[in-house]
Amino acid sequence: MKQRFKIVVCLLLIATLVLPLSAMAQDGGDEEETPRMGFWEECADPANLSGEIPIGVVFGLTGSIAQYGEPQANGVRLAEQEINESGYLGEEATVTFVYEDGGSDRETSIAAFEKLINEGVVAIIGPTLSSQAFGADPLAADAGIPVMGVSNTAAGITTMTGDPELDQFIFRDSLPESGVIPGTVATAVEILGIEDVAILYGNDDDFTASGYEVFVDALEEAGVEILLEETFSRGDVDFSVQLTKIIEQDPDALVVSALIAEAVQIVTQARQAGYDGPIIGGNGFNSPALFTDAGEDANGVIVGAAWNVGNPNELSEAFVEKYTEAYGNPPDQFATQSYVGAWLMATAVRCADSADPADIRDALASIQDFPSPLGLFSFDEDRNPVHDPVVQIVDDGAFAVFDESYANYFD
Amino acid sequence: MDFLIDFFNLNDVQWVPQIVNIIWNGSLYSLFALGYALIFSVLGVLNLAHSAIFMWGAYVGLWAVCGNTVFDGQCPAVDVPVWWAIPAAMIGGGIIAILVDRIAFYPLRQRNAPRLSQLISSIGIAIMMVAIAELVFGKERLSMPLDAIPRRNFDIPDGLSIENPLDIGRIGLGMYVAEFNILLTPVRLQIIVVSLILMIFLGFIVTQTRLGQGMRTVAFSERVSSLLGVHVDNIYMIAFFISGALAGAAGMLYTLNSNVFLPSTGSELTLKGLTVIVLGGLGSIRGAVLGGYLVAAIEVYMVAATDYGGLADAVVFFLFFLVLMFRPQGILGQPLPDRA
Amino acid sequence: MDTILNFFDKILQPIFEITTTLIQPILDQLQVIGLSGSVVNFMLIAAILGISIYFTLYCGMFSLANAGFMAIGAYIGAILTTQHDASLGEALIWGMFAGGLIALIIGVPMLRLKNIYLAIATIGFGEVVRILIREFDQLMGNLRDDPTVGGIVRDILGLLVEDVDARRLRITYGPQGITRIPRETEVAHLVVFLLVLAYFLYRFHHSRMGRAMAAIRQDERVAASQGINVVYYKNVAFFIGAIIASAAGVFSAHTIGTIGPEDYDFGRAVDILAYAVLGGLGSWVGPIIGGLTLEAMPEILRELKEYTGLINGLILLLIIIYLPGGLTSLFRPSFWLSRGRFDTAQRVVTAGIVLVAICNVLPYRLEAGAQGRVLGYEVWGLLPAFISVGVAFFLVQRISPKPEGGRYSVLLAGVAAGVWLAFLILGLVGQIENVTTGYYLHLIGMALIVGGALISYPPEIEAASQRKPEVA
Repeated sequence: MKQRFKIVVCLLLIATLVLPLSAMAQDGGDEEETPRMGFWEECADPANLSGEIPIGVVFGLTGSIAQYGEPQANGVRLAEQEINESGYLGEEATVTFVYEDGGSDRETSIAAFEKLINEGVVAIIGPTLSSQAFGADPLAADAGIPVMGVSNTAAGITTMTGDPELDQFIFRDSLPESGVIPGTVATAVEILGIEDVAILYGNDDDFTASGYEVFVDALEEAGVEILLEETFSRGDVDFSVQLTKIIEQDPDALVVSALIAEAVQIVTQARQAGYDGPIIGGNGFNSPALFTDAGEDANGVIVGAAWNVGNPNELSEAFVEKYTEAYGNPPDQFATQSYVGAWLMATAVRCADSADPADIRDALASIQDFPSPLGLFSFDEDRNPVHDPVVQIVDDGAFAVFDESYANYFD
Repeated sequence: MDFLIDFFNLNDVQWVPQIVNIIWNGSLYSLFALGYALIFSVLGVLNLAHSAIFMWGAYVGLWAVCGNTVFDGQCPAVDVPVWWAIPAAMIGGGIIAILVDRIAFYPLRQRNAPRLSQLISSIGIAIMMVAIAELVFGKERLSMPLDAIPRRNFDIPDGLSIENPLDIGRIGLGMYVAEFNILLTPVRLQIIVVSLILMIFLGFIVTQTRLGQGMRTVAFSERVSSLLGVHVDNIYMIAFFISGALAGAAGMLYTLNSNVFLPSTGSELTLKGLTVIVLGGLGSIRGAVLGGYLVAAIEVYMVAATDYGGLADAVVFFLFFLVLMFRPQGILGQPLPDRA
Repeated sequence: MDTILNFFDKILQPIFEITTTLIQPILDQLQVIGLSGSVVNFMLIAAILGISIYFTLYCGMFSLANAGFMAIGAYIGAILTTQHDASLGEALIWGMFAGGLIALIIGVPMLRLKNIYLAIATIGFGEVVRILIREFDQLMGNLRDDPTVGGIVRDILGLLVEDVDARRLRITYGPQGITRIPRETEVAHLVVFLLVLAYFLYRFHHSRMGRAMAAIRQDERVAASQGINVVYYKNVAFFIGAIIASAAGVFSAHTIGTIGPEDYDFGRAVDILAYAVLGGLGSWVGPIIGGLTLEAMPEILRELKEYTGLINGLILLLIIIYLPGGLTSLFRPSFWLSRGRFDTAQRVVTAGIVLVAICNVLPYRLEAGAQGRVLGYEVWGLLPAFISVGVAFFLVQRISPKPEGGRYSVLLAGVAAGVWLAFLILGLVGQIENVTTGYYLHLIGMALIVGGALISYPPEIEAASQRKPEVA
């Protein structure tokens, strides 16, 4: 045992010596002909920019939130590399993303925002959670710095202060649940003829709880009866109790508002318990983990989302390839939206041709039809994103467009 | 019986599958809480790092079956039978628990520090252990490959015949599972069986062996037991090893069921484990077992039979409150002199 | 009510203005080390929370209920300011009133419990409060539509919210929490509140009540036999703690601008406990220092990024093991002078240096590949200190038996600290800058210090005559 311990200690010491070297050894890889992101034509090459332009990035990088924050940071890192290597901001200038940990609570995010604002960043991307955004975004708005949420889907993010003068600095590129779910529900009802459903949602998380409310409204709109509503908590891994109760009621469809960690468990256990009908999920379901962790159980899951890994879009395919090469696993929606967010910020800097936050805000607000992995992207007058969400169904281990051909899929 | 069914609103409940849910959830809670209760009974401290040991046990088990790729945050293939992870997790958990004792409890014990300090040092080391796990295994979720764990519900496989005595059991099980709509995968059955074996084994150690006698003496009074010639330090070490091994086993079984490995795994069990050992009886081994099933039963009841599933935790804590108020030693605990 | 508030406003406003002017230089200094704006508010709130738990601990009660009271204060305050246009002052008064009322109701049955049982029961209280707040809207929505109790529930809800009949009741906003809370808390408010509390505490120690509570802590039975009403004083301590925690809740809600039930979970209760214990329970200064330090630490250590958790846990552990009297014991001459403390002091020095070493090495290692330089000159300034202290420990532990070894090593550590200071200054004026060798020297120095620390471990039992009974 002692011998083993010594070996481990030696290995650890060696690892500390070698790690920085291996980090340096990364090579850039050779350029291939891929479709280019960015407003290369729409905005002239910037002439007034020079030096490093700092943009703050606040994601939850420690604790249980890190499983979402880490892919987000990866998305921004990839964008940073591409932007600077391609000279998007001109010969003289580069963009430097300053990463700060927003933790999983409000206080940490607020502190991170204040630090970045004091350091003089020209814009901020983040924070990860909507609840953090409600705490932190007003600080940026007060300081006149544009802030863009890349994963905030709660209602009212971009009008949170109620003061148009301040609200104008708050953007997001993540479609709110109300932009995704009604379409998904309507499509599913139309194609599958669903009459009654059961809802399962996380009741201690603002993302899943607000998703639940949007689902309820959308279902009422579509004239679907809700047989029963069951809840769970973040971090739960067993849903057999709720599922047993739900399956007994024999609903036409199971509607789930959950984040991916719980979503995988719910899908797997619902199938184990013998439920083989459709499962309808929102943004939270949208992760490659649905296939890798749930396997064939995921078949028949209908997902409405801002983006997913099977998006038939050239930029999206190129992004998936680059991301997978860089980080070893395919991107999820969080990574994609943060990647697009970073590009949008850089585009605003390029189009404004200025490192002044107010100019960047104006440029950001006027971005229209930006080609991105999410599709053609625009901001509406409330600085919410406008692009087509996708309604897809998992069929044979892959996302497929959910259309009439699936009308008899569950028979 | 009819009266009871009416009273508990059981008519609307499919109670056979829900009872199975109670049994397997309760087994897991009990297994987790046993180690908690053991340390509380021997040392009189709450080891809030228990859930961190639970999480580390799961990672050690994963490492054992998956190999060094887990350090890169991946587990592409499992070459050995996946059940090997359980003994590995137990040994790993046991060793880690001894380390926790040496680092966080031993110096304070030496100084005769108040229990309050030991509670805080256990929190300190729990925070560190989670942070180290984030550094070692990465912050993103790890999972075993899909085919590594048998995940299908029990059913009646093709090619079985009543002539073969071994097959009869499988047919019977499959029929029950199908008839009552029970959610019972091999992993869940494993959790129930392993938990029961470990509980009986621990019960045997504590009541029937010299070691168990030693533990009970130390629990009664450290000073008296050292006068009686019990090697107190050894007893502490063994108690921590057993507690860690139980936590490791629980962690491995828990993650085998969910197939999600995260550094934050188990944090939600810290307080649940507390309710379990309080309801059953602080410091009572049998109480921890009873408490586990009781908490599981309350939770299942709240979700299955009422519309207030979200209040399940509040009900558990409220009950826990009442128990503390009127029977602080818990349901099975013996009246204790002022502990702690 | 309004006239009283106006009266207070007239008196308090000038006080706040004067305080703002007075503390401005301090705030400027804090900004230099990265503590600005809301972080200062959080620190002061933490100090208030530390005091809130100090009361119960001073009376010998181990209560973790204060996160629950904080939640009650925060929610009552936030509902008043967002839905009823109340001022911060009114919110504060009603928040404290609600917290105190609930403390009185649950105090009588709960405080019969002692020690770990009380701790566990109060954890349960905190969880029940959190879950009820989360489920409040749904629960009340159902009760409101109930034919038998609906009327009463409506009347009560009418006090909190205008639209009782809304399809979805919005009072606590479930897990989403309340947003758009006016950010009215100013540093001056907190400083004045804290000063008032500090004065109260200072007087409290010499009061009849303070002495009674101290007696209860020492030995409840003896205190009772001396004619002290144990139940009464315990409830008073619990009540005072609860209203202070509620006030902290109101302040924090109006600093952050948004609150949710998960802000007041078990982790918060533990944080509050840590403020008091790490600061030291020997005097009322302890919880204040503990709260300020612990809340500032993550911000100061922010550069460490993913190592923050590791370092925070380590600091908690090291203080509780090596500094049983909390941070305040460092300020006492007796700590440095009494003979038996030398071993402890030595270990504190060891621990501190290991800590500093980790602080400096890890982020450097992390980004060495990418940028070549992270922390700046102070890293190189620290190098020689690490090495000299490490060698010192190593040699001293090898050649001399304890406890004299401890004494010499402290001496050597002092010398090493001087050397470090010299190099720090040299580093600051830009004399030392060599990246690669610095990195390897760093590692060697760290290994030596860790080795030295391991040799001196585990701590010896202090001589019985030196051991004083610790608080709580």
